[in-house]
Amino acid sequence: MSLLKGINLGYQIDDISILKAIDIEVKAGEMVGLIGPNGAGKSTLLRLLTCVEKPGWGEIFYGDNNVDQISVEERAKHIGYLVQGAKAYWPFSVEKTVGLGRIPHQKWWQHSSREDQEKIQRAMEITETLAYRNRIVSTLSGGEQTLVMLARIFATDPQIIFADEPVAALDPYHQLHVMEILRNHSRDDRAAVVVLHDLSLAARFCDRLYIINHGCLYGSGAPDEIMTAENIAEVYGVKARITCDAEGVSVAPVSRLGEHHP
Amino acid sequence: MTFMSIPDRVLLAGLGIVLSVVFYVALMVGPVNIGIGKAVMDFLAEESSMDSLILFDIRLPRALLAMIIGATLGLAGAALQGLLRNPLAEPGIIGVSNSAAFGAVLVFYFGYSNFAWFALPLGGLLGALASVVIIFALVGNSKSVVTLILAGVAINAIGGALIALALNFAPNPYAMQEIVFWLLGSVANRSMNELLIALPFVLVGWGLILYCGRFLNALTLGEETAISMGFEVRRLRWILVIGVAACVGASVSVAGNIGFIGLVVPHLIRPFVGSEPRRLLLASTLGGAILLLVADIAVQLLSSGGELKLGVITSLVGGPFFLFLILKTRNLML
Amino acid sequence: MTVKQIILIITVACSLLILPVNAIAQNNVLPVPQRIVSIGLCTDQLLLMVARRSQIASLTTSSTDQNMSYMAEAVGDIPLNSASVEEIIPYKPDLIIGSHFAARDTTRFLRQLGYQVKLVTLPRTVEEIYGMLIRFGEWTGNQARAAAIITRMKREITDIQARYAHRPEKSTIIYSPNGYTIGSNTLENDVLKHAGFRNLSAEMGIVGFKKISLEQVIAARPDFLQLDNHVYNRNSLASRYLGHPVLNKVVNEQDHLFIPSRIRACAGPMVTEAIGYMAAKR
Repeated sequence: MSLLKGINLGYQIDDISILKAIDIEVKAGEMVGLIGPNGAGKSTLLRLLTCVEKPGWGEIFYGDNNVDQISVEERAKHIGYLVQGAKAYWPFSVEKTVGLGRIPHQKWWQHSSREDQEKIQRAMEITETLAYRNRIVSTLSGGEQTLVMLARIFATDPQIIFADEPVAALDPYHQLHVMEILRNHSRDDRAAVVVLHDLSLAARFCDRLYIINHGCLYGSGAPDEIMTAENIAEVYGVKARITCDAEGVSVAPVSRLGEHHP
Repeated sequence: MTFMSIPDRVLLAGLGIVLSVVFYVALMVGPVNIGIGKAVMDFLAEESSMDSLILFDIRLPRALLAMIIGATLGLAGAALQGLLRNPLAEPGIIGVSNSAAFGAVLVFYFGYSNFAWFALPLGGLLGALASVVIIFALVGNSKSVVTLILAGVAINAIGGALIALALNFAPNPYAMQEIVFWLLGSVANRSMNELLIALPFVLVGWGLILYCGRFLNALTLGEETAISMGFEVRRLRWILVIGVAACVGASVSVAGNIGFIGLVVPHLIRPFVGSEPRRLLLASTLGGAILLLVADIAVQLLSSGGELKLGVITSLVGGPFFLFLILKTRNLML
Repeated sequence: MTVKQIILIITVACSLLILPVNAIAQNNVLPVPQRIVSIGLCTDQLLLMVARRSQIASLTTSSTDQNMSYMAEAVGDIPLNSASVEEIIPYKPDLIIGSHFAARDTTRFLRQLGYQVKLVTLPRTVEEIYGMLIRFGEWTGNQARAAAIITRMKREITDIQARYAHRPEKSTIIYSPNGYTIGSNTLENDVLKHAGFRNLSAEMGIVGFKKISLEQVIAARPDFLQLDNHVYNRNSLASRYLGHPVLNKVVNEQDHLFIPSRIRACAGPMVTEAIGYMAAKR
């Protein structure tokens, strides 16, 4: 079942095309990874898919409906968007931050309901952040903060989670933790779209990968199909060692290609 | 920072009680001794004695006006801080009040206020709106505190200069001396007329701002996240800005520029609402009303008949407070 | 002492005696000023009333202001100045007259340049107005006219007081823009007295010009309220003070005394009109 479809998506600023013509589809139970070099347009694509930005051309469908026909409030209930470097501007407690995730489900006069409390509790359980529910978010470590932001998204209980480089500044422990959480979410009728730089994580956790290069779709497919040394060399300009074993696929960049050798 | 979040019920009820007490005290303060009981009895018996005239025609409008304007300033301060995600924002510092005063001065001294009852507060609103739009264009998404403060300094300077310019060319010989009123503010000698002129704009402004409460909460996570949570950020920003312009503009047009209330009140109350912008709105409304009433009581006790302007007291307290805030958050800024 | 010393002393003494006499003689012999320039509204009007037209070289621009100048119509084609030294010098004045409290820089400058400048002080009673008129007559060489004006004033005031003697004394407070009131030791206070009014501000102990609060005005419960009409444009906060609705409740609108600025702005013979207007209102 197709949860999300983007057809011929494009975006430009001042005559510069950031995205040219991207086709992307996310099915239920899938975790999709968006990879590609810096400046390829991955974050922009995510902004289009979450309807934060309107595409220059192309169409987006949530399920069978064109997003233009779904109200903003409805959309908000079905997606969760984790922006790059997400943080809280005010010194909220963890619980209050997670509670913000219930806003799409609340009417303006409503206060916290029983259902809200349950969802918040569950979200903190999933992300293992219950232990510091009363602490101020800004006093937590980077990894813990990301988990809290993720918990906020889980409190909304969305169908699709969009995450922009969620593990960028995290230590290995928290990197794996976050990826596991996202993977667990992407079952049954849910899905996740994640922008990643770490090719190993992308290869191990994602069901499908889309490679974006210079605003175009370079290719897409399962990790073992698309994560080849040739593709990586072409797109990233590096030579990589790819190992497959019982634990999963591992991609290690070795050296830069081109005129300059170490 | 210790965490003292108090449930809304308790907080608002507490503030409400304090407000009632302070309001009553404000009615009792004045250059002439009157008996409140006697005044009320005379008023009910429809006899206009000295006591009832002073209480109902002079002190009551004054206290009500101080209350409403204080509430407006507290609310607007909380709103601006939520919108700009910056604890140093408030109508006076970022120049909104001075611009509002300029708009009001143009309308008042050049005779346009005689066209319609709403001309004066409308002038204030337009002046305020102009400056908020400019601030937004300059600062917008910038996280830098310094940019905001500098923009505010610039707009304040321009606003003040324009006020002086307008008063200079005003046809009325008393105009230039009255710059003190516009720059420092006062609720003295105001009648029910002034209150009724400003009230509609103030109430509309309050409504628009309170409507944006949830939006301000969502903004805590940044604009893009707020959009993904279902808020049309551009539209709501405009609604909030117009709301602030309406209530601040109307208030300044009848009482001049009273500074720092919008800075002090949200800061004092923020710990009690767990820094939540939406909860801060209503509590700051009550807090602002209390603070300005207290300031007005102080003004009346300190000056005997000769008028100490309200803004002098609020600046004397708010100025050092502002410095203290800067020092305290110095490391978190820039 | 030697004879020489005695003669020296006598000579010096005599010269000292002669000098003042000389000066007095010179004063009497000094020509009556023919090119008088006034640098203030109040002296403008006094000049028009006391001096001959041919003596007046220039008046200030305020003299033609219908709202402020009692003698506006009498100005005619007399040249006008705005009290700046540059404008005054071309008139080659032999006498410059101004008020003590206005255009101080101008008068100082003119004196430095060697011009004859005379200043009138603010009269605080009707009697002092007479004194001012007498001095004015002396300076301009029109003593007889000044005396005639004084006689006429005295007669007018007596008439007025007689006409309204049967009416009881009333109380009033003067309330000016910005909340100022006028107490004792002022001309306004003396005018009120002549017109048969008690000045409640003076009775409260206020001397001169002081601010009082609206509450005090109400608490005094005056029979009449004199609201200064110095501004002809309602648009200023100062004027709005006078428009506070409570003032109408304390004193009926018909008992609000509005003395036109033309009569009130300056001290002079027009003060009798003010007295007459107020006494009639009793």
